[in-house]
Amino acid sequence: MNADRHVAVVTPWYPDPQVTYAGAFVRAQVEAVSGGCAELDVYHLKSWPVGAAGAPLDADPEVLDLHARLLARADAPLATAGGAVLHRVPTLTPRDTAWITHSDASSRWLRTFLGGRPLDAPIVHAHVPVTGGWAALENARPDARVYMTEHSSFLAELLEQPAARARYERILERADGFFVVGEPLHDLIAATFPRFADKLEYIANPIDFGTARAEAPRALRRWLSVAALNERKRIDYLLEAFRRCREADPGLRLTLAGDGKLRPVLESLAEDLGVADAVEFLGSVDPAEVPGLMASHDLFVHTSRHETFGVVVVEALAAGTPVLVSRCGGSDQVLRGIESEAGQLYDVDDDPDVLVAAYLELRERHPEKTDVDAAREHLRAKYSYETVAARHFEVWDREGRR
Amino acid sequence: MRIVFVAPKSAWRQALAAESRAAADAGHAVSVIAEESPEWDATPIDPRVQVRWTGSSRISAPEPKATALFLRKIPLGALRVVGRGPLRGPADGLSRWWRRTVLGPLKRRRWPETKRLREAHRRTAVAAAVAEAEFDWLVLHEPQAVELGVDWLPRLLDERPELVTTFSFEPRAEAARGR
Repeated sequence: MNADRHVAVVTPWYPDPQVTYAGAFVRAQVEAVSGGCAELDVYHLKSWPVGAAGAPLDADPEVLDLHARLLARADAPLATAGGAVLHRVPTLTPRDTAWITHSDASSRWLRTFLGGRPLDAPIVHAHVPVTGGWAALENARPDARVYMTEHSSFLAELLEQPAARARYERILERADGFFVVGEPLHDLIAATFPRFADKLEYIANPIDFGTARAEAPRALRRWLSVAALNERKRIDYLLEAFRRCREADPGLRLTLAGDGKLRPVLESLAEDLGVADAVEFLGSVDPAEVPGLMASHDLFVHTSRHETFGVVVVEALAAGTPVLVSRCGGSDQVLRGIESEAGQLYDVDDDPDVLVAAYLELRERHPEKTDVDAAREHLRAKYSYETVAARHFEVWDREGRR
Repeated sequence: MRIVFVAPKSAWRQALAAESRAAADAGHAVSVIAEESPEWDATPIDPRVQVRWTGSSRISAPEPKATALFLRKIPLGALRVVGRGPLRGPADGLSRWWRRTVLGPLKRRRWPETKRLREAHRRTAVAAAVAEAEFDWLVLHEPQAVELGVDWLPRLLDERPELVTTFSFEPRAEAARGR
């Protein structure tokens, strides 16, 4: 416990009873660092869309007045990970896709919630700079140091909006430290704002290494995907590749953990492909259940087109499960140097035979020419709770030492 | 305490079911103001929780009489008659096609009016349900609870300053600090 560290975390994403996996990595960060903080308060700025589509936020001032009144009387500090305190701050936002309005709303409602006073903490760490980061900068006390971490998979679209892009540049300028979780985000921000390239640093999401199987699986027959059922994750591609692999080995099974709008379509596709009896749709899974799920399958398969970081890939290896992963950005980075030990990478391609070939090659090599334990230890040194907490403390404390 | 969850659209059913159950577990008398949906089957509300349905989802903009007669009753009735014989398969297929390509777009065209009617009904139903309920803790569980609350909540807050209002029911921090 460090009595000097009084930290506020400001985030638009945090697990809640409706979406228990949303922002699970922010809660993991809170859990990782809480033991080293005297006080740790989390401000969850969840978007609450109001009004007609396209209408400005102030179209109905009565709603805004009422919400301000409710925020002022509704602070019920909640218990969260590691003994930290959680404040839910419903953030009324207009129903539009302009990030600048969401950025403004985040700052406005946090200020309202705080009663116009600044955040009490001398260290503020925000997630998602355009919303959480801006809210933190606008509500931090003058002597506070404000850090932020970018995770967003939508950043490229955000930077195409001129007002949001200008806001982002101001955030980069004002932040005391600016972190990204993977190379794709680093490269995008550095290319868009070259004068801030030197300011960008890496910081990892912490991963639980506490649940591992006794030994690596020998036959890679029970496949697992942990992914939202959306276009970017390419589960349709996975189903077709699985069908082709299963033609040669009818004993294959596939578990799909995750939910999304495409679920009915994908369930129909599994029927049409004749693999419905071998595919199980689990729906949303509580983050706490993921390590056990990983440890009870033989192979983790990831088909995403684009990722900012490879959380689930690290989670699979933390559980001792080999991986078959698309080169989608973040995953390449986390597996650099341990590709053959961890499993098999393959190129993002629309042809399912690319995945089939990668699976057959891995099956040929595994387990003699893979070393999941070595991959696990390599990742533990980079992504364990202890390592990531130490990295945060090093960042938070270095300015204080200057 | 007597807790009422206000969730006029019930946008976050899973959370509503979990939080109202947790409130009942904690010994509170709990009721929810919610909207009917077949999706409640996936996240059922605890039987200890009293539910006041708004009835909004049953409301639709009325279909013009001519449409109802000439585009719905007559063609679908004819297909039903035909489907009683050996042409059941084709008749069923044609019926589905008719609903999808003819009646579907007409229903979608009435959707803005349906939305307006449901909104008006929700507003009235929520205000009435709150007026009838006895409570000392209100959970404004979703954005529309605040939007519809402008009609009755400001006066209630004036009259009952001791009323507890929150946006969720979740475990409190053991040692709640002032912010």
